[in-house]
Amino acid sequence: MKSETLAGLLKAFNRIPWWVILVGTLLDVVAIMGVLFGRFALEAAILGVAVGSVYVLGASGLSLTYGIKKFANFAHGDMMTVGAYVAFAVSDPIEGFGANIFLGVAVAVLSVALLGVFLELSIFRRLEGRGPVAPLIASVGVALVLQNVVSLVFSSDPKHLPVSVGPDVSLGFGLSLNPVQDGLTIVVAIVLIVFLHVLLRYTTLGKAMRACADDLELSRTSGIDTRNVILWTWGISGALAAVAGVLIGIIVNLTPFVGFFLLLFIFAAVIIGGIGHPYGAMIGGLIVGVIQKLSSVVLTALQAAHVLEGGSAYEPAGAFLAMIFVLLVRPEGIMGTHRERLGARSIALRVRRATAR
Amino acid sequence: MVLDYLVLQLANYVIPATILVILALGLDLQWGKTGLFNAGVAAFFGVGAYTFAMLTTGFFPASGTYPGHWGPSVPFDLVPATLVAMAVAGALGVLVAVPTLRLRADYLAIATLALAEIVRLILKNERRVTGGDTAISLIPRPFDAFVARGWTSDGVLMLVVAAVAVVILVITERLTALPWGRSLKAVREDEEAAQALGKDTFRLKLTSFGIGCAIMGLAGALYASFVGSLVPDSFTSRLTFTAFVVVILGGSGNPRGVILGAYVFSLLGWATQQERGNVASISEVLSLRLDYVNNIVVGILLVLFILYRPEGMIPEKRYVPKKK
Amino acid sequence: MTEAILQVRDIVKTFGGIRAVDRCSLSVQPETVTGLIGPNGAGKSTLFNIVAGLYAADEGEVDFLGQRIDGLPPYRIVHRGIVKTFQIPRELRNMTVLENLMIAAPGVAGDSLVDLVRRPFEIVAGERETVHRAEEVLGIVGLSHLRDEYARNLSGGQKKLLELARALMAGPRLLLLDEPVAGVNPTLAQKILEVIENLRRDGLTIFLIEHDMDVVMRRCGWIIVMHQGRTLVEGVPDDIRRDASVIEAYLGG
Repeated sequence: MKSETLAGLLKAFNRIPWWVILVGTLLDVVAIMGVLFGRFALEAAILGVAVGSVYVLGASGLSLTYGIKKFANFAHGDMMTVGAYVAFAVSDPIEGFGANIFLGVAVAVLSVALLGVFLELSIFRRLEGRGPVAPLIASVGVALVLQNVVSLVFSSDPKHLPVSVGPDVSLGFGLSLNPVQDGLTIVVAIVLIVFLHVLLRYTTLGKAMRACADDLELSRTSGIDTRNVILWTWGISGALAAVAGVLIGIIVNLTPFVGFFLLLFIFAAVIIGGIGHPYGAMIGGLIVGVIQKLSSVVLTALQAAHVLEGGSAYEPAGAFLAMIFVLLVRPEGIMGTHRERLGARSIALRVRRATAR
Repeated sequence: MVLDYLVLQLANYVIPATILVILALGLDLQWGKTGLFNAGVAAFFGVGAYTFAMLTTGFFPASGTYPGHWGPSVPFDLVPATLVAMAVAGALGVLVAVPTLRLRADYLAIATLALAEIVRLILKNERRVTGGDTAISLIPRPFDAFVARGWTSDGVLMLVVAAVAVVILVITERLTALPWGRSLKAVREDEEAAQALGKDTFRLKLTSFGIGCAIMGLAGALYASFVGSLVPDSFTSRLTFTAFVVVILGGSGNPRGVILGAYVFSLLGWATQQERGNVASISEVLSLRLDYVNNIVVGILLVLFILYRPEGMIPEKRYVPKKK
Repeated sequence: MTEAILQVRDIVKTFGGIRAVDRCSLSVQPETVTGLIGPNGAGKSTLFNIVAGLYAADEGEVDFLGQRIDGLPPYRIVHRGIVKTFQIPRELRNMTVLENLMIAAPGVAGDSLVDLVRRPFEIVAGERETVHRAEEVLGIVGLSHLRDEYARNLSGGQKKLLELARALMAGPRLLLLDEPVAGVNPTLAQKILEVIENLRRDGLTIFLIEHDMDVVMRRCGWIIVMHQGRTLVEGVPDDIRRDASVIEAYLGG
């Protein structure tokens, strides 16, 4: 090939928007997987979307606080757990009050929203200006407290939310999904995504939230009551966490550590999507879920070929490696800005040490 | 013999506490001195432990329910095995550090946390290599010859671990007293300013991280010898968290603080264990509840310390050379 | 004419959509105090950051003592002999004033761990010497009484002095001072300027950015004016003071 033609091709290639390339690559990967692994790939992809929906809910809440407070809230997983257990306490006929599950969800949403506000007022507000590590550590402490309070009150025996889960439904091709577990999760996730979209795009609060996440100082001097916006953000984030927790309680058995276990997956979703970009978190959640399940297929094959012994037990590794890859190559995530890319480095800002004395 | 019993009790407190000291000293070098948030502590500790275990017990073929584990055909002596364990942990640290050290602190935390989890999964699932969930057992202890002569094995191990801790303490103190150590502090305070003053901050961070991981590997080797049999689930993020609590509450940047933090923290755990052991009628539920309360207290302390005393109980010493 | 100690050739630097430096070329003569002035946004600080290696230029070259230094990491540029201070002082907060200075000392035994093997015996003596030198520099800038104070406890003016002291400690050939007397009371400013003049007499080259026209006109032997990312004019203070294009640049913005 002549060098001019090559140069011309490269130039044309560079002009294609990066997201087109990304989507194209993903579709190619899925197609290849479909060819190689047949229906397993399709099954995995669908399962991945279902799993990813849970991540989407957890990640969008986390993304809101990460974006506006600029720190990774390690207690978010446990806020999800608390939401699930509050719903349990309200609605379980044996150990709780036996009320309607919807009431349980409502109380859970309110409780965790208030919890978020409480945490901001008592702890995280006081850690402003000390960099991203001090509140991170504090949030780990909070996570520990939440986990163990739940264990203390409810014991660590697995619980189940009193929601009847029907039998799996066959979708043809030998695939089967559970309408309540998987279907409900996807539906709820969609509803909440739409809600969040409407909130962020069309309401005053939503616009204020986006402005604060983008540039807090500028928003403050532009007249936005940033303290108020931050409290509302915590409330909404908590509400989303509660819903995510309840959904988890429907899908799997509830233990006090279930939320914490999901934390790394949710971080993966937030990072891949772009910290502080709720839409990114949604995309990230789906990507993490799908990658997780697709990698399970690949891993099972590797297991069969005696390359790796673990097989699908390494599923999380697939998701985590994707996250690490993104951190190294495009740390600002899918929807991140160049400015955020610089901010992801250790020296782009004057980073104050967490335990600033 | 009463003496044996007392030594056992003492050793069951001192040995884990001292191993924790060594682990925390490694973390203190990375976090306390250089500001690197290594959330993968458990992985380096575990890799050190497993390397030591596999080298000292030698190759074990699969038999019956035991999947077997890798190892040399002739088991290593304890000291070479320890050194290799340190080298492996340190090398893994460098490998992890090279791509991730340019990340901001919280991103580094998440990345190392994820990597540590991957390591744990490998330890747990590559059963032919590590024995998986079935423990590698019969890990030897040092100076078996003395034990044959009537010394208690625990007593001997306690002395060995304490000696190692003292050596590591001295080494880390001397290293941080060097201009090199001062450069690490500069990186911690303001990496860009450190660069503007002529410091190759990447190399500084890399060496600090690597040495810290090697020290963690050493702690792991000692741990393997102490417990005698290893399971992958001992190396979870819980362990990493414990190390951070010790460094942050004890005093980041001050080895004395780290020692204090480790012994106090271990006291909490040891005390609850004694409670459980002594009160025979204590129900399982109540003892679990003690654990939960224990953890809640630690969590609250962590938050309080970060808020009001981030430098820890014993803060870093101020550098004041004698005036002429 | 003596060869320039610093030569900047056609440097371009873009941030997002903005061309902060737009084909800028200039040169600095050795053993002078050269001023870099221009309205806000002219690209002065950016240019300093590029010379010091903190930013990578998109295009162009920087030569120091006849050798190319563009593209080198900051610490290597410091080793070559260029030290830059920050406009807003970046003290190492939780270290003492003395430590802040000792950090800047170049070529100290024990800076690299390899020295433990290669020259272990120089370490203790070297440390004592570094302390001694640091105390000397503290004397020059007048911060001796704050030797063991944590840098975070210093006042703004004292931090500026510390910034300068650290730069001195690094033993540079070329000192890039970014607004060395901005926001500093007149007495202190006077002291800083005297230190600068003494340094020049000792053979140092100083290139400084300053907005205080009085200071620039009185203290600089040569002035370079930047506007909209490139050099506008350069010359002796008297010429610059009267130059029409300079006046227009400042008024027009």
